[in-house]
Amino acid sequence: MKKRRTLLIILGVLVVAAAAMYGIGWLLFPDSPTTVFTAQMHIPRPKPEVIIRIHLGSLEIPITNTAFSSFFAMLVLVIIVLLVRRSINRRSEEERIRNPHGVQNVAEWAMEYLINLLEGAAGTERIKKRPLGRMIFPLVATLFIFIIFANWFSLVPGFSTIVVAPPEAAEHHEAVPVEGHGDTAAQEHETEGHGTERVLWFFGHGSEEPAPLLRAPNSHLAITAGMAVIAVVVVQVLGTMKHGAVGYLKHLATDAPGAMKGIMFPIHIISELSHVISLSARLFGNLYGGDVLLAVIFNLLAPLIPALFLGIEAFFYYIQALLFSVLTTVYIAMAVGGGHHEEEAHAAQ
Amino acid sequence: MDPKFAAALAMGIGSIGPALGIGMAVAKAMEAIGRNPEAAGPIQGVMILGIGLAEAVAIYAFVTALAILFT
Repeated sequence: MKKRRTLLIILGVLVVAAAAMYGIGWLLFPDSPTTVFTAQMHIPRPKPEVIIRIHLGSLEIPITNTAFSSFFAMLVLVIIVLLVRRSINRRSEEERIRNPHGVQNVAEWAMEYLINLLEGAAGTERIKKRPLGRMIFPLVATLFIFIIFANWFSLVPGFSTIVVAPPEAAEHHEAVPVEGHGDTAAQEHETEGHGTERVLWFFGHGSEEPAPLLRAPNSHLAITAGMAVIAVVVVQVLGTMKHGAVGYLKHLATDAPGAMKGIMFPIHIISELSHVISLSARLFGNLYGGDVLLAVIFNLLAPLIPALFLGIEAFFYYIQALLFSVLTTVYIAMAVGGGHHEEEAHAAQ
Repeated sequence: MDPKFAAALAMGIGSIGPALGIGMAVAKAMEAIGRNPEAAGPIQGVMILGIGLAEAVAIYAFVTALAILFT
């Protein structure tokens, strides 16, 4: 029976994996070999930890682990794109068009999926005589690719588990009291010497609790708020481009069905502000909640069951990336829309 | 009164609404697919969008609970 054989093989692999883990546990921790079966994950705080401090004279630039992860994700993305580009450029023009193969096929599928998504969400709006979907594709597709890649990257083993000792803040050095004691004065000079000699502070003295080296970039409210602010500012800019400055204000005031015209202006202003909050809080809440959920699940359950939650979170992270970009497109389409009176005027001529 | 109690209440009561909303959205989507099985693709797409929007309200409650607990 083929089914029975596959089942036995799967069972055998699981038993061998468990035995190997126990063996490694016995090698590393001879007196408590089952330590490898429990994961002591660090449940993250909403405020991310600073792991690198760059001192340039009196200026200090702290870099959090979320920012570090986002730089890392961007670097990997750039490398992937360059590799894809190189492998596509190797083929001749004809081969590329007539027989897309391998990496080119995947890239084309991804881009087609994104442009269909955006053109579907943007509808039939036009801006500067071009379809809206194509016009906003660079920005919104970038948001989508960054969000989904950063989110999925955070499910790779190693995120939130590799910990480092965070460097102390410069305030700790200045906080030493300037009293007339000989030894305190010597200590102060010593720590000041440390602060001014080294420019880059990784992995400091470890007086604070250990911090994970890598953390999901979107689990930092600042990063999601940055993207949300960019999206909403672009909405206003495109609305102004389409309707003109006065026209856009009129559009905000009167774009409502029937009897509500004229009093919609404050409501629209507030709803634009709430778009910033909703976009950023939605992404942050999902990512941070996902991090906490995974940390707790890995802490509570056996080594194999949490894999299910990794899969669930992967699906939800995809949904969040999709939602962010589609909502941005919908907001832009609503701000740019309502140009029907202009189109009628053109058609009448 | 312990601030953790307030955070628990915020999250607990705050997820009743979104849960009902998501349930209604999925129910209507299933009804629509039942009426018109060919449009299952677009209906699914719009349903996922609606679910994301409804879930955002639960996330607001979550962020409020976090703000109570950590500040």
